[in-house]
Amino acid sequence: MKTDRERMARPRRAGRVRSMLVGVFLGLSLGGVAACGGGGGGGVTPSPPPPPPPPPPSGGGPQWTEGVFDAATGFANRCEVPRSGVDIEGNAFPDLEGSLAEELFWLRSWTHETYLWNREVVDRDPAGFSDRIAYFDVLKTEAVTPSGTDKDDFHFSELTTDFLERRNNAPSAKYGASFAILSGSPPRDIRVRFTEAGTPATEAPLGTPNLVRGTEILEVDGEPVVDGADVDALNGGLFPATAGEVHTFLVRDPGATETRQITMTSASLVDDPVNRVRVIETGGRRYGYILFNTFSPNASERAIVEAMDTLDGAAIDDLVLDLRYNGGGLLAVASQLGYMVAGAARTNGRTFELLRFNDDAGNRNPVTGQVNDPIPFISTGVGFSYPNGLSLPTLDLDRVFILTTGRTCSASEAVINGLRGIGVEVVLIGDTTCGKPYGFYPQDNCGITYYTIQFQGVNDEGFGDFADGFSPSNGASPFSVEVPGCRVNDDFSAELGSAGEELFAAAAQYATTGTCPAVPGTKPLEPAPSFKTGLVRADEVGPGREVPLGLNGRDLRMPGSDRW
Amino acid sequence: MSRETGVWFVCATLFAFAAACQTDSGARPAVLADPQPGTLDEVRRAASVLVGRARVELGAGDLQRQSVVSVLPPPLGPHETHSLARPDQLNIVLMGPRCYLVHPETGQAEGLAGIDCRALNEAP
Repeated sequence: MKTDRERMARPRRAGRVRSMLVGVFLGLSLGGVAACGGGGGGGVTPSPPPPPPPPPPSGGGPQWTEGVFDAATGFANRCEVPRSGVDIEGNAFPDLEGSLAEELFWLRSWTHETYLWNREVVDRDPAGFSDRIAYFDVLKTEAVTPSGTDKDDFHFSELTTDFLERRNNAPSAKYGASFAILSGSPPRDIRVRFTEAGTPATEAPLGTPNLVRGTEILEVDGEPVVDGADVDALNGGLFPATAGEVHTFLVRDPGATETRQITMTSASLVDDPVNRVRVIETGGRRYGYILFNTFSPNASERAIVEAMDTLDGAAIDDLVLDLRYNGGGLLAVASQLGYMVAGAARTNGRTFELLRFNDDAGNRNPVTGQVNDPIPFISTGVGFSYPNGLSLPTLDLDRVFILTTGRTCSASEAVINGLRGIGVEVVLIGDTTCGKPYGFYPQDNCGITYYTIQFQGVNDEGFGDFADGFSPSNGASPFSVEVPGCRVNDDFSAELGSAGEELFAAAAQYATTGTCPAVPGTKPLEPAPSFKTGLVRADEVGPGREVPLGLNGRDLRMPGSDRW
Repeated sequence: MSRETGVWFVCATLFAFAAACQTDSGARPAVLADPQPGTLDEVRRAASVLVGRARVELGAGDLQRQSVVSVLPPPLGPHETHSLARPDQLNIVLMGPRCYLVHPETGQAEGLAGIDCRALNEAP
């Protein structure tokens, strides 16, 4: 007897066959257009081969033989508890009746096929595991980096419902201020990293903006931040659940002794990828300054193009690209940024990033099955939010200052690495970056979304070994990659994009004299984000998002809460 | 004529045009001629079929001037900091009087019902 799902699938398949037939002929016809000089659409490439059929059912289920791996597609979506219906994006769940064993064997084969360090994974018999998360957690390398940290500390999973909910939750309720939890346990210390224009945070009912960079939050709805026991009240005020919530705060601005009481109403907001663009004249030089906080939303493409457009023709001597809070996102936008900095001549024919997959993948991306072509410096819009094919502005620089902290991660580091790979002088000002040259494709199976490292990005010179981050050369850690520049602490004392802000001032000093300020004798106020492997919990937050305080002062920062 | 027969007729016609490439390929890059309320909904519907997702959003671009439709990938999750996601680029093509959306990588096509198109190289 056929299930409802099978009955529903038949007409869809039939419709698809018809559609494909039309498509094949249209593809041929379009090829003809191109061949005849008529221009038009892209070339027709062969479809990836269909997945092999699932293994025939056997009474005892899949059997483990060490070092022998059946194709993961044979176990995919065969679930102990199949979902039915559609997810919040309207897509039908692909689940079929299966078993825990099949879920575990899928994890094992999928890891073997796609994990970057697949040959370093101990092949354990799934029969020894009764929990899919526990099994996934051991499907990783146990090697460590030269600094002694785990070589793979980006290995985790979460409920697919949470994954989907979080990627669809923009806009969200907030004030337009980014809060730095310098200490999440008593004595707590919470400051404002930056604010966004036109938000409740920058309203000035009494002539002074509600919040500025460095503002210290002392009380939330009367609950003391430093040692208050009602953590829910603190979190509820700092991280409102809905728009329209009214909360009062006692605050103290940087350098001030007096406190202020403010009231803010949360609003439904989307983070601005580019927070501000400035032309700053100091010491006889003109600097272009861009505070670029995320590569994640589609809007980041247009935002960074417009920022570059603003600086193009502004006769700047140097560009100061502020990525100190940029945890990464879309690699294509990172590539476009690299192109706009360096220009056509320096990037023509060069690789922004080449993906390295596991040794068994050959020249194919083992996840998509496509040929693993290098990612070039992209010179046009790609259609996220800037029209596909439209030329990008360029600054044509042979040097760029990049402001960094431990929150500078992933696609941001790809910009650093990509530009260094083509000989652009990158000067780092700030602190060691997070050290994530890796990436993955989140993969759902039976209700869990798994994250396993599948590729490493390398630049035009083939370099990508910066798992311990990039560091300014005068304050490099023994294991990070040393880059010319100055170590400076992000101290929240001055507004971003001002000549007096510590990191910018250090960049200007370096630009004019080639020297750095004295190396700070203290650690940064805001510690580098930590990361641990395991199951991501529903209360976790991601890059650019705010981190709730933990109960009893426990720091609840989660895997990826900052560096992912 | 049944729908099935109609589809085969379209296929046969397309084949004939493709075979006659040297003089007229038949399928021509096209743009939207006279967008009406609901036109973009139909483009989204067709795009949804071609990329295999229930709901899609279109990226930047003026479809009255560009024959390429950008279909946005799903938004990134908070942990996707090194994402290879790119918009799918679909082609608007004109085949006889009918307008299609075509996925250039798979060759799959989906008719744009009730939408007027004009060839890209024809004046509006």
